[in-house]
Amino acid sequence: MSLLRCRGVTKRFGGVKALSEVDLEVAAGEIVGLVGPNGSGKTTLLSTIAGSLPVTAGTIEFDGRDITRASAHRRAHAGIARTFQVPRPLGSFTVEENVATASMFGRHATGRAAALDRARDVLKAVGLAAHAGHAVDSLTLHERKFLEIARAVALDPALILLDEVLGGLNPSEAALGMELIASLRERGMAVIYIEHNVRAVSTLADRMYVLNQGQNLADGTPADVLNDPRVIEAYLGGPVDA
Amino acid sequence: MNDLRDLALWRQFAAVAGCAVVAVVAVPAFGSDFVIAFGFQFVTWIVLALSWGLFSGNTGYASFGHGVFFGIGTYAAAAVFRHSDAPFVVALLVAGLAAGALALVVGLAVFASSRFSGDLFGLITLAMAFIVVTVVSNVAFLDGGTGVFVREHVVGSWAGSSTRHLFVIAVGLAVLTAGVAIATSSTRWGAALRSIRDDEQVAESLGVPTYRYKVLTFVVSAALAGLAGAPQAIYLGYVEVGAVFSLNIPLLVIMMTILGGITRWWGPLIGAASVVILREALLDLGSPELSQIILGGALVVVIALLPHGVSGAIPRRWGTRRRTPALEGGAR
Repeated sequence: MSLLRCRGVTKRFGGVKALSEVDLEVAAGEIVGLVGPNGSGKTTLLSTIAGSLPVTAGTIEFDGRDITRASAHRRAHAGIARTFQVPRPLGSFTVEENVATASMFGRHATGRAAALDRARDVLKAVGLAAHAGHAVDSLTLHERKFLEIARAVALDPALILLDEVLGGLNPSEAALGMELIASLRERGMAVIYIEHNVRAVSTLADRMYVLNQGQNLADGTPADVLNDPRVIEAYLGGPVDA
Repeated sequence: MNDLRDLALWRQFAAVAGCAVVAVVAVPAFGSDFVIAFGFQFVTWIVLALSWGLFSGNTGYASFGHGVFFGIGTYAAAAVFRHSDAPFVVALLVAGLAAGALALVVGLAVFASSRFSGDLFGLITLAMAFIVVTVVSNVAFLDGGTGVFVREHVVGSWAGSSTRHLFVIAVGLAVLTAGVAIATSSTRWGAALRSIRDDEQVAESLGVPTYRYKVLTFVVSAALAGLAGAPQAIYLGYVEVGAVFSLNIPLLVIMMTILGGITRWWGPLIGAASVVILREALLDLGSPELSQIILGGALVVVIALLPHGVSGAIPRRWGTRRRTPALEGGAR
């Protein structure tokens, strides 16, 4: 049985159809890559799964329950965590407090002291332990991106939605990020992973979905998807030697 | 609520309670009638500023409706005195409940849509003020346009007999309000409110039930202001729409809180003290316009020099870096 099942998810913004009848399934513990050209609706789809955007039509099931109308915090409690493409740390909280907030209010809500303990453990795991007590504005871009992941992990989710967490990182930082994503699967989490860089996704993902103009274009194993002529067409506008 | 096992919270509450006991004993014993009356107004402003900071300071949702909740409490208490022989406690509870109920209705409706966050929320609370004023002016049970004499109804009752009693009641409400403010300083509740202020969508994604926290805190904040309205009704003696629902009240409350700072629970307390004392001192100038200008100027200077208010400029511990911890630190 799949952990997440999106069926016919449609999202309109006024007259613009950002998503049109999108289907997507994720099994427990699976890493699913979600790729597509700019404006293809990847982040919008992620937001409808996380509950920050209501869908216009379609259903979203998680863990066998219909969560189409559930609020974002209920989905967090149910086991869905997300990161934001442009990191959005809570500005008046320290690094560890940002993470502790997720433990305090997340799936297994705890008191403040236990949440801070757990936050320090998670920060150690993502390599930010040295910044635990610092203000968030002291962090670099890659640290902010990892803080996004740390916050999501602290929710103890079954599914984690990563929105271009490697974007803008240099190669060594990106390599660290890839290891981090692989370690999420080892912790038993399923991952939906949006990435601009198709090659980066294909090395990590068990399966991939390609969106184009708000619609499913292709899905399958990375090898199949990358060789699909429709995918090449969507990315490059036609067969080209790259 | 294992947050409440935090000793620092209880130490602060003990300090507040201690100050209150001293005030309740010393002010009526040694103060002149003027000092007691001044003390009553002073403590009432503290209740209003602290309770405004509780919701608006913590969440960043600036409300211009705090004067309405205070005024509703005043009118609710006046109605109880006028239409019944119920003791003061009843009027007090009705005042708090009436303000809380209005906040509940407004909060449930307004917070249901993310469209009304930010500036629009402020405008809605302003609109609420105009609606309430119109209703109170036209409902004879409450006012009906003539004003209500409260004094004649409370003659002989304990609370009505002297300003000393009103002062003691107001101090009691201030202790209650400070207790709630302390409970939002470094607890789970406080962390939820401040996460809403920082980024509401992120707060939701981290599992914070933002709607519930906003409605609950808005109601508690309004109810505290409503409670303060009950002794105010007796103090005023004559309750009249223009004075009770004056827009100066919420504006002064906001000014006090910004001046004092919202990053710590006692910021509004410092702000209320500064504004009340400054206002009183400026009365000697003999010109209310001039004193308004000086007060406004003081606010501009403080905002320019101390963006986190007076309390935000005081270091938490000697030698520690300046930051505004949200989960820790408030209780220090």
